[in-house]
Amino acid sequence: MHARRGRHAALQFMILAAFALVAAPALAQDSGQAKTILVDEGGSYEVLVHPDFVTILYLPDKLEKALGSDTTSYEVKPIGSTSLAIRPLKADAKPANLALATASIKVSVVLRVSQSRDAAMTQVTFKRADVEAELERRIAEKVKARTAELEARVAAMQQQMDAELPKLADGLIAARILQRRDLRKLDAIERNDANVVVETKDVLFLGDDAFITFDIENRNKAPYRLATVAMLDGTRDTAGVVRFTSDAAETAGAGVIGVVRPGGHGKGVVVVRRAADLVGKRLTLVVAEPGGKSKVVVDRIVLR
Amino acid sequence: MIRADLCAFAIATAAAGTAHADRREASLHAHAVGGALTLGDARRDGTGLASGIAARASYATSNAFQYDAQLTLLAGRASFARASFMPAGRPPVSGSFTRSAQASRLDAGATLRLGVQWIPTLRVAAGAQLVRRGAPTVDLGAATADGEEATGVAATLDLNLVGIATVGLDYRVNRRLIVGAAAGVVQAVPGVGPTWRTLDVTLHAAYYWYPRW
Repeated sequence: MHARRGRHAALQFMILAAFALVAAPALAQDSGQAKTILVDEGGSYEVLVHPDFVTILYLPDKLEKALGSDTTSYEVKPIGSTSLAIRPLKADAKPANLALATASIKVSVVLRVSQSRDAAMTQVTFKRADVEAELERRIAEKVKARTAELEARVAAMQQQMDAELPKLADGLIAARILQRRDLRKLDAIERNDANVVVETKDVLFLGDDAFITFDIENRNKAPYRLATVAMLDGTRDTAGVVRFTSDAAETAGAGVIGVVRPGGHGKGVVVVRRAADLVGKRLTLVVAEPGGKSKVVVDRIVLR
Repeated sequence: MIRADLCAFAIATAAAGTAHADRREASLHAHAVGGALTLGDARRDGTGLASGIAARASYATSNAFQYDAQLTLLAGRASFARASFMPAGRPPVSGSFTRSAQASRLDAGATLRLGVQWIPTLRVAAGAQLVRRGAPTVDLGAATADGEEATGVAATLDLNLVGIATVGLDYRVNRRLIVGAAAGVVQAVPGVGPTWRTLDVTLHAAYYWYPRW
């Protein structure tokens, strides 16, 4: 039942959308009491007016002729060479028409007094449809060319970055090695009730940072999906970047860093920035599955 | 990307070894022991029941093996077939008799552990025990002749060297607690002290943790 109603609504929407597409060339950029009318060569168009408003008609080029059918009920004044100001003189003025001719278009504007002030137009712009289309085509061409140019520049920049970043990384690593490079053993190990064992193996001090390696052995019968890794100093998490790899065939999904298959092993590294501040303190490595499940808390990790 | 490279570098420098679930685990066990006792006397062997308690400490060097030491305290009584006793200054007595026995055993061994949640175990160990055998209590029908004065046989204290083999099944309740049961045999080395053999059943609970030395 709901599905049928949904299909019906979708069909209605498609029909309305189709009508809107058909009507689009004649009505473009409508907003409030202003509208634009695209004209091929000629045509008749209704414009709602009101005695409280002056309605301005903008034409695409110089006005050559303007003839009104009821000049007693409607005041029509040219404003410059390409626009007219119109205002009904009576609230009960009957519909009348205004024939306009320029070098490129000939239109008949049917003036009708609107019952509501809100429905009356204050500004109507006539544009040549073919000129507008040509303009749009040129804009599209320009945009396409500009986009292609920008894409090429981005690709070139990406190539340059791909070439430069390894050099930059090598330079940073080299500088840090000169600053400090120590590999120290760690011996913290713990398990959870689900037979998942986490052991910190060692810490690599590289410059100011520490790279702490840990192993996860999953002796459970279900895969262990590593979602979070925290290195706590008290309650403050000092963990930075985490990388993890394992022999699992399953790939890590959304929100999962890595997977350890049942009976399998995984290795990870957690980066601790400015590790000098943490030397001698008792840190706690906390790993968990999504939702904080199957948490393993390895405490008393002391960096030396 | 820089971080990734640094992490890869750190992984590359990590040790090749990987974590092992039971490796580095230590445990303290409390046992309740009971079983059939075969106790030697100067003339023959007697049989009876013995029960006691034990405490064990272990440390695992791999997922499969843990090494342990155990202290066992046992008390029992064995019944012997009819024999004659000639106490000094008294008329001889004869009849079936019993002797009490208390043993304090210290052994060390290795346990093969074959599981994770449910853990079949096989333990072999060797150790020494001090066995105190009480003076005989002779059944005279309507009365008993009890003690060294009545039988002429004094209580003794002897040393045994023993070999132990047990099979069992453990269950890991959580990361800290394992419970289990085992059946085993303890056999004294012949020629060193009196005969001692027990076929016993053990119920135990153990607290496991990772010590930091």
